[in-house]
Amino acid sequence: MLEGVGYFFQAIAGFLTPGSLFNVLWATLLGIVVGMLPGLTATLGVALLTTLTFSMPSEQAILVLICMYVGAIYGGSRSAILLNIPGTPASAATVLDGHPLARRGEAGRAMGIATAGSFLGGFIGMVLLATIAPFLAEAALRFQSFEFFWLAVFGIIIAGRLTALEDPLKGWIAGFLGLIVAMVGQETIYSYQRFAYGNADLAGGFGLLPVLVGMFGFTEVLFVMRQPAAQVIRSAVDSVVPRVREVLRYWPTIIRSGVIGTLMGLIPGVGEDMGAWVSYATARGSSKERDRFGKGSVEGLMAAETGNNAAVPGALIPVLTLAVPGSAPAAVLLAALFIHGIRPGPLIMIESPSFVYEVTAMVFMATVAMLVLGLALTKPLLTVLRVPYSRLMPIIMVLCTVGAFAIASRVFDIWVMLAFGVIGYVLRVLGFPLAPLILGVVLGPILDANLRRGLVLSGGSLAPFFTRPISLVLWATIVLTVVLGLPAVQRALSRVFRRRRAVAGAGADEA
Amino acid sequence: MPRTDLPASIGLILFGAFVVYESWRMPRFERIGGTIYSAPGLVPGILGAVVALLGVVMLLRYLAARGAARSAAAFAHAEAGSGSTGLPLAAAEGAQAEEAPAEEQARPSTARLLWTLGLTVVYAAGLVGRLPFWLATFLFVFTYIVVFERSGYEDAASTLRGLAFAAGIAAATAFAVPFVFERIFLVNLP
Repeated sequence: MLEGVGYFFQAIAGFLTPGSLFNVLWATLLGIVVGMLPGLTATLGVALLTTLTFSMPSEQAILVLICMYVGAIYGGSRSAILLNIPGTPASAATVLDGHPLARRGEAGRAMGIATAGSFLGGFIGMVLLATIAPFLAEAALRFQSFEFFWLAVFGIIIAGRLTALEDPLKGWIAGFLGLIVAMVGQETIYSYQRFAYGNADLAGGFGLLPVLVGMFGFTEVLFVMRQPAAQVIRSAVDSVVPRVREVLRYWPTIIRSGVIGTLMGLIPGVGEDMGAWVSYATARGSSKERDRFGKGSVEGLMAAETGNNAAVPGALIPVLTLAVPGSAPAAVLLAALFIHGIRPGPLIMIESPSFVYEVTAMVFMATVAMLVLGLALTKPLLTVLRVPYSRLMPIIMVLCTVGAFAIASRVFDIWVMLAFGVIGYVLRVLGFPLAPLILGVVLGPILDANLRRGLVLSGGSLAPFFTRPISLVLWATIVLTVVLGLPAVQRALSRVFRRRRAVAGAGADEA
Repeated sequence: MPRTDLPASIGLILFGAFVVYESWRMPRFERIGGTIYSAPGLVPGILGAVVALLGVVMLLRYLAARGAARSAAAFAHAEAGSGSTGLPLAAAEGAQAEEAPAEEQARPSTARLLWTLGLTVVYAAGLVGRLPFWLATFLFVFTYIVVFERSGYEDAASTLRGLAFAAGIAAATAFAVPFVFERIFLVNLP
């Protein structure tokens, strides 16, 4: 534990060079801008920067990507507050209380609260990252093929369940579709080319980055262009710097949202948007000022922004220890780690123990930069919001095209980007979430290889899949998640809870 | 249940069946000691079957909901109001609060969507790779901006100004993107 602290400070010292600080500043600023602009998501930002930082030394590249990630998740709060439109899905909960505050003429106060919440959330998540990751990596050392298979299935099931709360069936379908997408290409045991039909490009499979850029870039552009432009709040911006007493007043909410956000990020495929929603809902449930929520509650705004930024380091935990992404932008980071020759997974604490703490240090630098830039650059950032979409979207499309091409220099990848952009649009219009699909694309090879390897190891017997202790926990949790997601079960549960609450309420009234 | 669930579920069933069929056709490599468990078609086949099955569930659910909606509208309304747990309710409320102001602002336009799709496909699939990148990019950005801002071109002066702006932005993009990607970050462009 103590050596971890040592590694952390060593890493910070290493990053205090002018070159690194310059990278931190421009990457975080770019991230904030990306987050602010609807149509640009954190995932796309990280994906595009991945291609740009291809030839940078690996720690600088990862540092830049993490700064973009942190900045983008924070940046969405600006447009949520000022435009009533979340700049990224992670800021959807920020809209509820951020925009009413802006309409009351307190936009600056709202932005200050959002900045403080994001900073504290990132900080709490960072501490949890440094403490949980080593333990998780150690537990994961006991994972064999059977456990990795169940982990892949678990990721799909829980992501499908939580990203489509009203309709988990569509979330699960999206996840399994993603798994099928990953099946295209050469498989690992016999090198047989699945679904290739003699086409050399298809035999190479669909690259993760072109698919991501298509679904989180092109699809977004299509959605944004459907709408006419939005109106920026015309308000004399009041002071942005938050009053310390106001922030500290809600310290239980902050801590709770930070922990919840980190846990939401930790769960594979479930990311910053759930971090925000669950924190918001929990804060509202236990708040004394419940009726202010939705009308400009500072506590609600803080819970949402703390939750979503805490999910960023949370999403990095499974990336580093299990090579499983905790969220869509984390999936890009995972790909970037592999590109730069870093091998995340259970062995990371053995092969390069300092890396986890280096990543923690990167999150720290990004979070501090976000605080500084967010508070200092309020007025300049406002002008960004006024750029008309008709001028911004074609530039984004050019970047998407380059981004899709640049990793493998294949024109086929551009076609993949276009195709998945259209597919993503159709799926979203039909009500399917895209995050489980991306998770499926990432987990597909893991699921496939480990199922078949496990079956070969066990001689065809399914017994070890169900009887090994960690496997048991995983598949039992899967069954529980599926059962709890069935509407019939949910209805029965809500009836039970309502009756209990009514009884408790009656008891309280009498007392 | 939205009406699109019907074609969506049928599409999923067909797609899942196609995947299962193709997986069944994959070789099993028995001659070099493969079993069914190591067959390439095992996992895609199972996945295809799951997707088809979930498609059937979706179809049945849609048909059941349509039947229920037809019989008792009041009953369906009460069911929707009770919700399930606090969490989905909060999310749904949040979604509603988000939708109401959005409805005031926006009427989605299919024309804009199709123009975006068309121009982008022509650029990314047609122009890029066949023309020098800077030229393709300039043409795309210029055409895009003009198409979407042409409603603001009322007279000769504003038209000229608009075209000049579009050309300026297009030129800047066509210069800046290759410069940043190729020179500063050393990345290949198509």
